[in-house]
Amino acid sequence: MTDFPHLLLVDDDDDLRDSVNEYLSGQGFRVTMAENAAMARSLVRTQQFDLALLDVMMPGEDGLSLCRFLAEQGAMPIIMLTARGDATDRIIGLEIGADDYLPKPFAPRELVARIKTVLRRFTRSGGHVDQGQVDGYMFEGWLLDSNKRRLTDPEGVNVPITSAEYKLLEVLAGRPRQVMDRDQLLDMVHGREAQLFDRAIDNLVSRLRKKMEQDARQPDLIQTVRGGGYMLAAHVRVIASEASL
Amino acid sequence: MKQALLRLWPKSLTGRLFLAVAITLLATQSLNGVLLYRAQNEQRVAVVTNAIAVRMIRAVDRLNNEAPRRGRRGPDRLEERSDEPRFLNAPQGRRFRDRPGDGTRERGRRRRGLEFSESNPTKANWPRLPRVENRLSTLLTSYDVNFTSIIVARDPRPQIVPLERLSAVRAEPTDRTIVGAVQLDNGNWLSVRLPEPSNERSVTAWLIFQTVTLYLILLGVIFYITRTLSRPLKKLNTAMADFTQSQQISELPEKGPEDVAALTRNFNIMSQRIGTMLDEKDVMLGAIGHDLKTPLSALRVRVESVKDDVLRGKMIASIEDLRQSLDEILLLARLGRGQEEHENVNLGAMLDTIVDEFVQLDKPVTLEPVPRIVGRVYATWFRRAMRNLIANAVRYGGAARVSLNGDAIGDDISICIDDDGPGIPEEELEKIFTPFYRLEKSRNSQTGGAGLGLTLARAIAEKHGGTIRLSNRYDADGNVAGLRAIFTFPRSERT
Repeated sequence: MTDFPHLLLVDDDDDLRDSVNEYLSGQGFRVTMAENAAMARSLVRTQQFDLALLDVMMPGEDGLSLCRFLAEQGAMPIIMLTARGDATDRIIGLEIGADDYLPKPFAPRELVARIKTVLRRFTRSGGHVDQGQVDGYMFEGWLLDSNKRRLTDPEGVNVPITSAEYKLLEVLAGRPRQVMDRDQLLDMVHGREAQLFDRAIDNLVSRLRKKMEQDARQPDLIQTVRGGGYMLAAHVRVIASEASL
Repeated sequence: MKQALLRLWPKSLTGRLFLAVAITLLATQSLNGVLLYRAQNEQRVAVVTNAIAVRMIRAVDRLNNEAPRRGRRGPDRLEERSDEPRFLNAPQGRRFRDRPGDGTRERGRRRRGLEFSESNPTKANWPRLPRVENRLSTLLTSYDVNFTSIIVARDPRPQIVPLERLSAVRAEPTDRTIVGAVQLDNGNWLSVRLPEPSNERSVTAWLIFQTVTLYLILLGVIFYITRTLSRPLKKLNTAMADFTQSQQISELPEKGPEDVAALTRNFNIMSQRIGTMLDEKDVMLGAIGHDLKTPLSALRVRVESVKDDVLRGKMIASIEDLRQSLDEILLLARLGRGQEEHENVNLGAMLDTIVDEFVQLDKPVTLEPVPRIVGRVYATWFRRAMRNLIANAVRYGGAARVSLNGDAIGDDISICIDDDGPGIPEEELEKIFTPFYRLEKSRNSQTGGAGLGLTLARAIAEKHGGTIRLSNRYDADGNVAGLRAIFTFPRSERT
């Protein structure tokens, strides 16, 4: 870590700000704190940040509104911190441009992992993560909604998938009819630092097949290609975001 | 019998109202009918009595006028003696003198059904009409007709020819005749035959017609009234059901009769007030959640700096427990607020992702292969209930085996979660759903949650129109092999 990533932490609770600041500083981050949205706005004008951590519930302007503002600027990825455990906040947060979402109380390690993942994705894509540009993919009647991270089958029935399964499917759908080998997939799904065994991708593929194929032993959608790779054998229509938020 | 009667008892307001009116109307009309019938009967008695009396008085009058000439001729049947000129040409009172001539008098008598005879012209087995006899007796006495006995009876025999003719004269033809007979002082019988005035069938018909007409009018009126009454009531009922189900508050139009409109108005006010309270509760819960979880987060972060691994682990576990309890309390309090939409979900896939969460944490949770079963659920809540049940099985039973069942044609979908633990004493199977309820030591050694996991899971099942049942599983030797939890809910939720 030659260059310490610069984080903006916005939360109205002093204790939380201090403790997170201490912990993240120890993990090799440089943290600037703001106790409300107005302060954050002025900081953003004068300084350069690599990532913002926003509390949803704050007196005055709330975190969602600030998130929308920062996402419009497009200068930095955003992770929302929220006290609400249900999915509503998460969906709203992701829809208005947050890159990730973490419910309070979170394990500090989890926070660091999420920060690193989001930072990596952001620097690689050179801007907001894929979901900022693509709303979803349609293939053979299936719909993969990137905003809600949801898969619906041709009958409109929600087919719950894990986040790893989602990521794999998103990668495959983003490159239809292209053969991807296991290493590529592993890298794109789990990230570079993932210490995963080789079978992880095979496992994910077989789980997805179970949920999506008529007959998991004779797959039509996700096909195995000789020489070690997979591809999505379907015509994929990309649903692009109209006038992104 | 009682069952059948109960089944016939109408359930709806309209039905009951109509039944009440129908019974009242029937009673009224029956009373009406009885009174009418009695009046009619009375009238018939009077008519018959008068007809007989008039004829007899005239005949006796005439007889008295003739008396000197008839002398001791003895009894005569006029019909048979129609060829007797003397009798027939006898001078008469002016009133009775129509035209001179034999046949005329004779026909006149016949027409009036008059007859003289020596013996009683009635038979003993003919039904007698005592009321007519009484009246006739009074009447004749008051006209100074002397008689020794009086009989009025109905002649049950088929009509004889002269009466046919006679009856043709009468307005009301009938096949029965009434014979009134008096034994005069001289021992001779004077009898009068006349057709019995017919029962006025039209009265019955009229009564039925009247009743049916009244029924139809009342039916219309009742239908109209209950419609104006029951439509707002039905709307109110639907709104209340919606409110109970999803706490959706809908303002109803205040229509219908005054009292129903007032009911609707008060319902509107009440639901508004409850809505406000619920909104306030949501805001408050959000604030509580935030105010407790934020310091908890800070604590959780600071715990990382604790050097002692064991101590840190314990602290983290405590914080995790606190978080879980907080989550469950907040969720339970928020449950029933219909912010979330129902959606069709592939339940097999959902269970697979939930089981995978446990598998990722190296928990012994397995899912039996399932066909594609689609259920209409509140996905987030449903997932929560499954997690709680599986987590319980893992925590207390060491392992969880999950299976999904839903016959293609069946109405219910059930998810069955088996563990290999010590089970639960039968008498506690139901109590364990009580909030904050804890089992005795055997199952209480570990911590985790506020004792709300099952309460929450059952509340979620109820939100789906279903329920959760717990039962102990027994092995072949009759020993408890583990606990089974079954989450059952209808495929298509009833509304």
